[in-house]
Amino acid sequence: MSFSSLPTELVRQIIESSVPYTFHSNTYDERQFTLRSLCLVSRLFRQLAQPLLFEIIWSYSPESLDAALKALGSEQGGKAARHFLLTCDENCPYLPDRFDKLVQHLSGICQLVLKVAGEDKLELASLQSLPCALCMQRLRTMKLTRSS
Amino acid sequence: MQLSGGGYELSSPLVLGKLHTLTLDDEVLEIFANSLDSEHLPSLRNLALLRVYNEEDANRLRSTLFANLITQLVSFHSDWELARTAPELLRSYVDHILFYSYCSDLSRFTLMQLSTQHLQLCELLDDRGDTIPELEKFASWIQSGKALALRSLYLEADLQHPKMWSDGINKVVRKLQKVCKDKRIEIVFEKQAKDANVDSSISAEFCRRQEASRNIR
Repeated sequence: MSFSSLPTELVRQIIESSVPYTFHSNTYDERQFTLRSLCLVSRLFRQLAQPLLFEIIWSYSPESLDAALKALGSEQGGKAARHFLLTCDENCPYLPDRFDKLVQHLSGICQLVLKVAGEDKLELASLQSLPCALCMQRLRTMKLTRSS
Repeated sequence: MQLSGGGYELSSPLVLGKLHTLTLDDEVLEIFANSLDSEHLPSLRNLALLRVYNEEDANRLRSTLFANLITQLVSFHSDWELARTAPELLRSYVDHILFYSYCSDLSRFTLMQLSTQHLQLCELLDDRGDTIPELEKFASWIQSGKALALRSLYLEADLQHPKMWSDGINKVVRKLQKVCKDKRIEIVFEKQAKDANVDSSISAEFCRRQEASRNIR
């Protein structure tokens, strides 16, 4: 029996069980690498692995934040994102400007982790002040820190 | 009114109706304190306050409706020193509280007469083995029978794998396991946060047990 003849649901289960279900800093890079590789195997694999790839997004630099915004703004990324983590270890002048835009894409998020540093401030009230953020009804877990 | 601190601003109260689990550190508590109540967090079940332990932090909690919020929590994760600075806030709920202590604080912890039931030891291991004497003293303290209320001890899961550690660390962990067994203190090995900025600071196992025990009651 060839792999391609397996039922889609079974392939989905295999892909899901090949990566950690929850976020941990120890496993994040490997998880994303595995999913990116799986996306390149076939159309079916891409269809199944890509939502998992977008499910957890960890942004820790201006470049990764722009990539996150792009992913969250896409149709598939916006639907799939469930966990969003943003860490900033030093002054991040780019962050406050992008935060409102980011919040607009977080309506489906169930876990939000924000760690900032430096003098720039994030307006937390924007989490619920924007119309689309009002539907942050799925938010179950939040972690807000500054110092490490 | 606009509150700001810790890199965040809060121009209006934050109501998070479905929020189940919340972690804040001392700097964010400064602006979040006014939202730390049942009205703003009606569904909150698990709360972790990191580095919240000094008099200023305790006064901040006293000035809010935190005393009401704690009654709805299934689990609360707190620095052990908060039990020293604000005992009246926590006294009735110690069985729901997982206190955490860093190894460097353990000697001070053992000097306090706290009725801690559940304790998590964090960041026990370093490459130089500096923590070994502190752990030795802690194990001896348990052996001496002074940890009267302690029922469970949460340790990093990697400590179960002797090949990862030096002989010194393995020896002291074995001693800790033995004295805890003698005193009927359960050791729970669990993967702890590696990157405190992003990994969960809340013990999933402690939450699970607290939920289960609440369901039984």
